[in-house]
Amino acid sequence: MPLRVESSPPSGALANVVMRVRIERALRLTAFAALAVALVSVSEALRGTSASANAPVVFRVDSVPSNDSPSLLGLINTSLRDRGALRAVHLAAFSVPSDTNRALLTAARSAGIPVSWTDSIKGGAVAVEVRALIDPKGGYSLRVAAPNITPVSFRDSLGLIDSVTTANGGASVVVGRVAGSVAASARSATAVATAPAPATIRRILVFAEPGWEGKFTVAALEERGWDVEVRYAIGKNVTVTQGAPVAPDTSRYSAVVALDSSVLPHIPAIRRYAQSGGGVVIAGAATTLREFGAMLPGRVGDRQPGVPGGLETDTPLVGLGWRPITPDSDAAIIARNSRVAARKSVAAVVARRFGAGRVVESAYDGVWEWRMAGPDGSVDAHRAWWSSLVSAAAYAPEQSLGADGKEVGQFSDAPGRTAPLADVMVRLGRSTPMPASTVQMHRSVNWDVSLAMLAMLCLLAEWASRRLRGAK
Amino acid sequence: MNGFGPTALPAASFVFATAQYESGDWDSAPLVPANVIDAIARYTTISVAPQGIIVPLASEEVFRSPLLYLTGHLPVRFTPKESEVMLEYVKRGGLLFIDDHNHDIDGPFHRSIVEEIRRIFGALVQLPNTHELFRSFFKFENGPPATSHELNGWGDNLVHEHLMAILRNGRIGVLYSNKDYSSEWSYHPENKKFLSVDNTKFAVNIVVYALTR
Repeated sequence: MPLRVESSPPSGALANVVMRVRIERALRLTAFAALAVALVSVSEALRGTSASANAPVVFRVDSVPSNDSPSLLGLINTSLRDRGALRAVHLAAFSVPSDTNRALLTAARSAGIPVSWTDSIKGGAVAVEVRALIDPKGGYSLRVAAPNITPVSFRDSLGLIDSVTTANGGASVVVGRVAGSVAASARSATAVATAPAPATIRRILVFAEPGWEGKFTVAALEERGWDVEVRYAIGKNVTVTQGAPVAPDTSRYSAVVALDSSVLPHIPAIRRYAQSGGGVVIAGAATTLREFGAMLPGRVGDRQPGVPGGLETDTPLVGLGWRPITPDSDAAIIARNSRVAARKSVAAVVARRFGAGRVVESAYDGVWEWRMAGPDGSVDAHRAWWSSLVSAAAYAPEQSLGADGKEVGQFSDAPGRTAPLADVMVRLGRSTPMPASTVQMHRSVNWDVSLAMLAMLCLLAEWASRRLRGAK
Repeated sequence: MNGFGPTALPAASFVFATAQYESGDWDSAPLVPANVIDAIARYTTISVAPQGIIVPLASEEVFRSPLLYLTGHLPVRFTPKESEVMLEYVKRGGLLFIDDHNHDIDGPFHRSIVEEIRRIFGALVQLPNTHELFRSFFKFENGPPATSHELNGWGDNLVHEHLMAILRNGRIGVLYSNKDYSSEWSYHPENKKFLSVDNTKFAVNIVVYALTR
């Protein structure tokens, strides 16, 4: 466009006008260039669409997810608009897709659209579980599974709870309280689990002869916070009781503990109790009672003395007398005796399901010696030992009412939130290599729109500049 | 043999243990253990060792006997090690039964042992006569049974109505009597047949309480 001079402006004003004209030309050129590039891009996309009509649309999930991460729903809409159909989807996963996107991929697959995926996730395998502890003190156990030496942080709705580094495929922490859901974050993945309602803790019923084992077992459980009732067989037809013990029933007792032969008259009732869901701990001399029959998770051998001075070591249980247990095939081994750790066929504590209940069998007897004759801290350790045995067996249904008196809801976790990568594998099958021919749908559409917007803005600025300086 | 080595006894057995301390006369009532053991065997099915043992109060052996009997006539002054062991013993759940063999509120044993207990554990409290100790096996509606020495006006010429105690976690850790049960129970068990009422029944309550609470 020729420059028209109406009058003779000062030399400074003339220089400004010349500069402004140059800027207007640059804006015009930029606008034309952007339009040209957009036209070429669209034509290439159209050619690509016709060339690979059946190629999968690639949905990419980046390694650093953000709030504006692409939604699969947007991709599906774009594909339907631009290509008329969604023929296949390939997930390029650099991080674990969100709950919504996993659900959409599953829906697409259910609708008959082939869905494949390529696993490019680094450190994405993480699963979390939140369990209410069966312990009078309450609390929760947060357990995470992730590759070894992975730093994992736990958060709830109030913020960071704790952080751990995994070993042997997992880690766990025990916390007193959690608020809402617990999220375990490991590198690029986050697993979420809702805390269950607290467990309902009921009384413990102990059968024992008067003696140190019974006395200190009861003391340990009571000092730990359990409400204990005891039936001591102390003479011919003489029973000394603590509390008001009645026949074992799940409405009254979380667990029954049998320490010796004083339990013999009560074994039929205990069997019914276990079958109906109750927890039973059979320990010490009671493990030799054949009357328990199929309730026992294993068969005990001859009693072996403890190692002299063993109570003073890092593994004080080796200082106690015990009867090695050969577990039945359906029993689970809870603990071994470190003296015979190499003998995999024998155990010190085993458990099995019996009816709807659980039975834990402990090989040790005279455990009270640990409390009285052990090193510093053995009183606490003795309490924790007995409490853990009872917890392993105890019947403790979830509370139906929370502390505020309101009914506690059921789990609200979306499917797969507790183990999102495993959920992807379950939903989409095994990872496959990236297909040779794909359609990069959502990226090209964004690029074209950006170019068009740039052209419009440049033309608008050029027009406004001309009009403001009086040119047509 | 169990984890305690050659001196250990089967864990299921109750073994009556007498505490041996350095000062005073710890062995002033040698017939009491046999008489208490006889009563336990006579009235209960508790597996009881036929003979008592003597346990040095400053030794770790103490922790293998959760009920200890301690008596004497003379002034008592526990060594630092004895004091340390006694405190730890009670903290862990042991029961120390101390009886004043003088039955004299101004006697040297009473005055010194009460001071020693206060120094090690804190002040003794009066045990109410409704305490479960008095019904742990036999029922003693009026609290601790009076001894013949009290009734005969010997010693301080008083009938002591209550026992004293140090309580830990709601349980008796130290039971103190200045009723002189050590004299009351100090005779050969064979001679029980001459008594119209067995005066060792309260010993059964103490043992049953120690084994069950």
